[in-house]
Amino acid sequence: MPFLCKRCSRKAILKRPKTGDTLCKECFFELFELEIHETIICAKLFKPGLKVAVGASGGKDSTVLAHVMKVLNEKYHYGIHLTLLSVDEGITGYRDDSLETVKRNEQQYELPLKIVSYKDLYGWSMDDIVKQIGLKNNCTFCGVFRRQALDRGATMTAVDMILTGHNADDIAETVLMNLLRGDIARLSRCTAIITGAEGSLPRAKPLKYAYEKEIVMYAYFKKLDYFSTECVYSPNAYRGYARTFLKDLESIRPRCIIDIIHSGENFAIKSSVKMAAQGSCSRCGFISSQEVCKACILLDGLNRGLPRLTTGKMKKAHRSFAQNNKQENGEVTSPAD
Amino acid sequence: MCQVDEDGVDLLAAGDGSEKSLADRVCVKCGEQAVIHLRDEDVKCGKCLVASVNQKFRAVLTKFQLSRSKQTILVAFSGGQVSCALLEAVREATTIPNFSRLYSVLYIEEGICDGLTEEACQKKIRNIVGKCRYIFPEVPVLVSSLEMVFAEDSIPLSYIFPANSTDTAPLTGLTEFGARFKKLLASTKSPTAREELRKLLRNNLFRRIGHQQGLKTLFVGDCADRLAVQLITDTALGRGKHLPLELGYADTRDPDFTIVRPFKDVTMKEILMYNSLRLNENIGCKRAPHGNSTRSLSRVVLVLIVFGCERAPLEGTMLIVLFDGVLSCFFGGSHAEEPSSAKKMNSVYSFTETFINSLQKDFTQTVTTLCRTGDKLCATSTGQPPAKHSIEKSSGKLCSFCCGPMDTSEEDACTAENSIALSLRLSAALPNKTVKASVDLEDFASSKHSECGSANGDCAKANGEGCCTSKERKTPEKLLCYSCRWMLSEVGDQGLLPERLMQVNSQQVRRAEMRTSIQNFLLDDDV
Amino acid sequence: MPPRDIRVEFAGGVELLFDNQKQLDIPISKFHDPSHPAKENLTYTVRDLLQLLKDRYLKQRLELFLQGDNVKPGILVVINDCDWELMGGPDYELEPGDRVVFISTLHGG
Repeated sequence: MPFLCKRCSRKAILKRPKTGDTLCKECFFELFELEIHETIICAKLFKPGLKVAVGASGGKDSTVLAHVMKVLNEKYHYGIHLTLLSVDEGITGYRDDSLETVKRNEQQYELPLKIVSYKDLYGWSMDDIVKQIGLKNNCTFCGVFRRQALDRGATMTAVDMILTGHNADDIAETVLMNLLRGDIARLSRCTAIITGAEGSLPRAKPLKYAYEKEIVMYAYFKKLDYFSTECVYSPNAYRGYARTFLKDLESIRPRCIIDIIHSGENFAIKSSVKMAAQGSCSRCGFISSQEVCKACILLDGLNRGLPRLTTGKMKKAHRSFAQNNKQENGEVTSPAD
Repeated sequence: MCQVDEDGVDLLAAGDGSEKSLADRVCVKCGEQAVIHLRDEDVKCGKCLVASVNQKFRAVLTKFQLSRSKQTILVAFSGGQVSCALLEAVREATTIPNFSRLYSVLYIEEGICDGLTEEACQKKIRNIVGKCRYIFPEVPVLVSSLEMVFAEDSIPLSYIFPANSTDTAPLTGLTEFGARFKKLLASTKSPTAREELRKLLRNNLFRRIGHQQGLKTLFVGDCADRLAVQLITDTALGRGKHLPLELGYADTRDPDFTIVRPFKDVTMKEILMYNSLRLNENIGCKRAPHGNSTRSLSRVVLVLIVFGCERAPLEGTMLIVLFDGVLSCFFGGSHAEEPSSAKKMNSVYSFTETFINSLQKDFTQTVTTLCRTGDKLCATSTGQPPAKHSIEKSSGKLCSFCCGPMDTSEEDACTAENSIALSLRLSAALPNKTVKASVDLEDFASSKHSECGSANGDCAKANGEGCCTSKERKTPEKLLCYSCRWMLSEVGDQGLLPERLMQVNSQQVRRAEMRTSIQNFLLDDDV
Repeated sequence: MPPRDIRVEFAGGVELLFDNQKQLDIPISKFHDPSHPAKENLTYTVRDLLQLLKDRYLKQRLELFLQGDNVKPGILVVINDCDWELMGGPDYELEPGDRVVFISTLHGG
């Protein structure tokens, strides 16, 4: 006995995880796009004339995001100028392949594409970094560098805003991760649809209420061209736990994902909890909660050939950085410092 | 997407990194042979561990000015590990002049939820009372049964085993309520909703027994590990805003009945060790030889036989082996009232419990970090007068079902709640089902409020064609918090819920709301 | 006309577990358990297909594809272009000519 679409009674092809409703293909496409549109309108993300870059990795989320943004911009006349922005970390066998996908998307969606590479920005590709430090902590470098790389690429192409493909599952997972590691500052901002304090570009997540399942189904039924391979370097094991747990929860109670986001939006954080003030890095000017941003610290370690130190305790790394600077300035430091 | 944060947050360190055998370590406090490794450099001998658990307990009493007052305090007792430790700490405290006061133990039999027969329940009750007597013979024990939640206030909701006695006349009318209770459980659609409902009903019964007995304070045996699981479970159920009540030292949602968690900062490992040291003497603790001979046992420091969990009767015992103070046989321990069993493995709570336990094994900081996180989210956790901070001053609105603060959002805000309401609205049947009509946004925007009573989701149409859901509602949705709205929608027949429940709650909600609104006009005494 | 095969496709990263094969055509005869003589009118479900994939085709890391005797949460199953949750899940009875697609949601972004 086939299920029927709850709206129009045609043959259903999908059970929506968020509501349990069954939908036919046409209604699914329509609602999926309409809900993202509503999120954009509700959060007042755009003004006409805004230059908006979609952070494109070639994966499912950013591919669906680029496609849907193109469709919505035309359908609802946002009047924004869309571009694609990709970061080339320099990982052979992973990023070079996925960049090919992004380049095809550039053609398919007729959106200009800008690629910025770690090699150009920092003088080191991820392959170089791994050669230097091995496989143990390379993900820390990659993550820290990527955040800045997107911003720098955006600045180069003079865009006003970056869109990222974070979906509801990603946000729920981040809420869990921040609870598990007790990171209150991130917990309080990880559910925001727009992030980015003064001095940095705003970043928005138009897919924040879209379930991963629906994104993948949308890509499948629309036959979108995306790339799906795990990075060849080691993945984050701890996050893996949270992800598996979330998927297990979803299997018994699909609402959990949106409910976790609801919880995240409603946490009452004690006013006495100190939050790190956001300032800017004294070296590169990029936003940072410390005197010197993490990317500069890591880069400094790499260039001095002491990367191991920098991925350990950050306090130690900051001290070492400061000490090094003092020495460069000719000051005397005690070895016990 | 790459699984690493862009912020590049460092991973939690796996393990303690302390491979040194406990046999070679001494208590940080007194230099005696250590028996338990808590965290980092914190290793303790048995005597200091017992002292620290008792001290934590008494600190909470002092914090809430409960150390000396005429009021009797109820102590919830399930027969599980944490309950036993709690009762022992209570007994211990009564021997100290500054903390001598009166207590009553309260046990609620919930065998009906697990399908136990009346006879089996009675047997269980006798066992529990026996355990109580063993730990603290001089305390009266109140016994009730979860199905009493259906009873009128005019009849006794509990019966009493006076101090030192094990004889009493059991409750009447259980069978009649039992049938209704079973129906209610059967009509509830998911194990998670059943568990949530059970918890709410239990709390309701706690409160009503408290009111009936004229008592204002209840101690519950929530320890750190359990609260860590509760933190994640509540988050997964959309109860983020209720965390201060659910995880703090005190749950003050009922102004006349406070639930206190004296063991909030005590870990399960401490509890088990405490029990083994305090309660084992008469039930035959076998201690593996200390010192050099432990080496032959390959790092087994202690073999303890301690009290079983509630399902295991007194004569059946539970074996716990400590490897260097790390518990290796650890089953269902943290959830004293409901030991994990295979049939329960499909609820959010049980998934979370499994998840946290397995994380804790690999990352030993998991529970303590979660508890710290919980503290930062808990406005009430610093021991300030609780009520004022736990209830939202701005709105003062409380959920009619769970009495937690309301967490519904403005109707045009970009929130998870509105996104789910939107999805439900959009997938409602189109007016003309045969013709495919695409949703015109203008129409959609104009129909948004006419079709649906409010964006809070209480649908104006009650004839089953409603735009939000088609179910008949007993409680207007706008009186319910986000999570209770979902939970009640899982109850197939809301007519089976206790009539008194909503009535009592709404009275209480009104009182609490009134108090908050008055508070807005009063000066804060702690500002 | 002889019965057609069951077509199985892998996408979204699942193919990596199957030696990078994106597509398999499995004759219905492969489902017959050699230890039991084939019976008339025997039906085969997606659960049987999972077992078969596990026994004969899965190249590595079983735990990334299956959890217990079901598909690991996070892998979507689409049968004849329809969400398997609408088709009875693992109990769906396969017909010759059916197309079963396994898509991982866990990779890439």
